[in-house]
Amino acid sequence: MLAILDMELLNNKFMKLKNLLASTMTGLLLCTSCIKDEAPNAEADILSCILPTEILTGTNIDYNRPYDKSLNAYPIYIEVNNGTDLTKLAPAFELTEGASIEPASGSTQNFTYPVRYTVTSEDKNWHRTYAIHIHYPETKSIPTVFNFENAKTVPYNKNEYYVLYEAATGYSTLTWSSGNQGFALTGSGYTPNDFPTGISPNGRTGNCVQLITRQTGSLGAMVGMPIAAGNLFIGSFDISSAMKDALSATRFGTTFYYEPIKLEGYYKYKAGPQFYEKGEYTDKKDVFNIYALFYEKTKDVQMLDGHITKNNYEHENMVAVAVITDAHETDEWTHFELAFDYDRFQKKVDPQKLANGGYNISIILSASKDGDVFQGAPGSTLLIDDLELVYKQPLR
Amino acid sequence: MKKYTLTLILALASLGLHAQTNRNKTIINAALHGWEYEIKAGVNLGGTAPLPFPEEIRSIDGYNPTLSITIEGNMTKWLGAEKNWGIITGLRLENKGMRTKATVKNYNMEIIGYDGNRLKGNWTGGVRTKVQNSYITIPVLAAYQLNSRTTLKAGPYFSYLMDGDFSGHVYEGYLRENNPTGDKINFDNGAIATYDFSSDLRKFQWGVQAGIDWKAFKHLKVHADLNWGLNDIFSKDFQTITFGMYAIYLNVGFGYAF
Repeated sequence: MLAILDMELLNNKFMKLKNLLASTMTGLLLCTSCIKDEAPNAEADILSCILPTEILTGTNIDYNRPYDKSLNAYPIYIEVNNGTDLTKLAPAFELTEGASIEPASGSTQNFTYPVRYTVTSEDKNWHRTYAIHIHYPETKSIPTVFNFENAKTVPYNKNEYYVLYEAATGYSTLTWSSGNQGFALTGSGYTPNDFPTGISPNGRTGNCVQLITRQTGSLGAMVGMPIAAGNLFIGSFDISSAMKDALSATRFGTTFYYEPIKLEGYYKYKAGPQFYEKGEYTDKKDVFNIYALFYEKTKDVQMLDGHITKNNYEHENMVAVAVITDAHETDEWTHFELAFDYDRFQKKVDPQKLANGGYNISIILSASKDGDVFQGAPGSTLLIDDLELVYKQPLR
Repeated sequence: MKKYTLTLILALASLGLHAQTNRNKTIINAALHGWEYEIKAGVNLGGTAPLPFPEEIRSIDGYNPTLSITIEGNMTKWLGAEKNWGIITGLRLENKGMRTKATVKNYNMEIIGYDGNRLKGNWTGGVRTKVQNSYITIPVLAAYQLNSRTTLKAGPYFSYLMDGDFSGHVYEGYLRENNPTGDKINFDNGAIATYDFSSDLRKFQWGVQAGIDWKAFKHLKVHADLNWGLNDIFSKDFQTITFGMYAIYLNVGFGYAF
């Protein structure tokens, strides 16, 4: 009885003591762990480049392009109207707070060739060199036959990976995009052949593109992206949004001056042994995807992104779509022919707008159809060769 | 920890009963020879933190001490004729935990995954941390009896980590790959990267503790002890967190003196 009474009294005292001690503790923590003064910024970015709006074509400027080994700089491409005097341009720059730039912002430079600018961080310890290309709109078409014979290696995060490109005389060079840059962040010491997107000597003719769905290991799992589907597409990959919204990181499209009719080519496909989705392996069979988009560019929409498949290829800018429907496993080179469906969108192609570069095309190849939402079977392998975009010959 | 706690409570309860019946003999006899026994219960309030805070930490946006229970059984041997100096030792089962939200700027980190893959870079943005470590601790303290109610004590303690959790995630911010001029990778719109460094926690911890006991009634004491960790909570070869993290906790509670 006495003990119970003791306890109650004590509990009261204890609570008071606890409150007192808790506030003492908080004070102690605050005192010993004072927040120090903020260090000067270490970043050295060009956030935006300002030129008179009347000379710009309005094409989006990408400030996040990866480092280019051949330029020894981060490239920025700015498209200006034909006839602009490139020899005397004075771009102004918005930089990371506190950073400085050399040559100075607003100084007149000759942009007949790319001009190099070096940004120095506020703390003076870091530099970032840019090569700024100011150019007229591209008038040559991309190649329409893709043999996948050429690849270069690009260094990134202690890895090197393949970047495929298609060059043909009379055409502009098409550099294929992929998610390889994102995969490079998930580890180091990979060889180019360990990446999801690569080139293989076992083509139907010469080399071919090789797309393999890969596991991304512990680092991929940390960000909820446990697999990476081998993919190849016409457009650009934006590493800066790869984590926040993977579907918006794949930007599809490049200017195309013709009306596409069909996409044809050859494939081989082997699905990986175990399908991975939502944290576990299931019995589902993996399948690949090949599709092509033809859409018009508008002031607000210059590029479509990875959300297009999740929206069943619907978008107000869409003009035609071509999608493979009989994708299956095969170890023989199998011919496919995908017609562009214009009827679905009920839109007329404006010949004048087409000639002026107002339409984009994109071809997208993926070893796992749902790889864009990180579902697929590691090991799924898609080989594609001798791809051709057949288009309506313009009337001359 | 639950299992250990239950066992200890049962042991102490039976000890208590036993002590009740034999108090007159055993305890009084022990007390005459300068021995005292006590069981204690309390909570740990504090944090596992770098000291001092590095300049990369810009703000602490949230802190929760969590309910970190401690249970201790100890004995005191009073020395000398005056019996005002003594030595305390015993066994303590304790949790040291906290949850924090902090904002960091340009924090240099290298994430090393369980498969050895590494990602190095500079993080600017939010970091959530959860620490919940269970230790079995042996304190070795010198005690000084200030007056009949008050005892001061200080000395080292040695802990063994039974179960550890140090995990969390980064959110709302961006990583510069490799260094502050590397590619910028944004984490927003709910994108997070989780981390779990539980397996990198050091098994043996030691530090110093100092505190005060106050005898409220004949058998009931209240206490407050500051426990200051003196070695990094992470193993030596753990590189991801570049600064040392130390467990600093205030233990408050009450005890039953036999």
